Amino acid sequence: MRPRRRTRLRILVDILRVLEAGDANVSRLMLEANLSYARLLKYLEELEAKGLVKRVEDGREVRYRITARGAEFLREFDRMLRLAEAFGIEL
Amino acid sequence: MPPKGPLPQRQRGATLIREPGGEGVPAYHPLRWHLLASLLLALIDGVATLALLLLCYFLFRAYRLSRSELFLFFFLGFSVLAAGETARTLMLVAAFLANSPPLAFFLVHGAGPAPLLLQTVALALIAAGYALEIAQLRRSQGEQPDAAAALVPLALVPAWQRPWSGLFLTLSFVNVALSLFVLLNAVSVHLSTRSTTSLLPVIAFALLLLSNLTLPVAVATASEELFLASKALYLLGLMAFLALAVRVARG
Repeated sequence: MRPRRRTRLRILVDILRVLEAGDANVSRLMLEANLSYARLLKYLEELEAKGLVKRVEDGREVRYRITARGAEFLREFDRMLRLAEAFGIEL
Repeated sequence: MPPKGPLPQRQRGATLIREPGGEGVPAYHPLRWHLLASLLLALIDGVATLALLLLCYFLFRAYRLSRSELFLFFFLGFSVLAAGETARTLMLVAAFLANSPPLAFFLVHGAGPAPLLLQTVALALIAAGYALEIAQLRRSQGEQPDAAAALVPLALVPAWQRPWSGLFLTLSFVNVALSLFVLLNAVSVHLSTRSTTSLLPVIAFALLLLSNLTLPVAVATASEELFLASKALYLLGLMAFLALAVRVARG
């Protein structure tokens, strides 16, 4: 059986889940969300454009923080997961 | 001193409803009793409709978030089912409020086939959702889609075209077949996840199947008790969907 590839939505949720636990820099996000640098930046740009995360500059270090909208997005995703589980939909 | 002779009607348990210029009709007059039963059914239907609408709302939001066509099929199926329930509720309330007995009779009896037809469409959409799900799952696992599973809903089309003894019975049989297909898929989903969340659709679809099995028997034998049993099973099934909607909302 071929391992299933993560969908775009799953990847966005994985990044948000890391940030839900606290602010994180790019290195930590790459490690915990299991993404390459280029792909992570692409997804972070998307999340920032949608207002789900915000960029926080602390001296030379750049960190990312989840917004209230991002937290609501995660709750919505959890509701969708329960529905998907009920009807056997793979996300 | 109590009056001698036979007791007046009121004392024997029958309340008289006086009509202008009439002799009065007992409160348990068959038509009035049916209308009261209709109102009770309308109330339960109303609750069931709310359950379906809540589930539709969550399914639509899930579709908007994920853009998964599977959610779209389930959303459309449950929306059509909710539309049928709403139509039935409105017709039953109208029947209760109508002063004209012929109109009330038409509305009460006309309320049957329309929601049944909508239920057929709804079950076909839900069945199509499950069939598509199987096909997508097989494709993602590098297997060929199971053509038989995907084609079951289509195989029902000839049955739909063949006029049997009447529209009501035809729809009932189609609904039994569709409910069975949907139930088998829900059971299969539950066996793979073993969770309470996936058990609720199994319970709901099993009750819908039992209801659809009882309905043609009730019509064929003209049994009012069986008809009510079928209705009760159907509403219990919808309550299982309400439990699912609450579970999704509460988390």
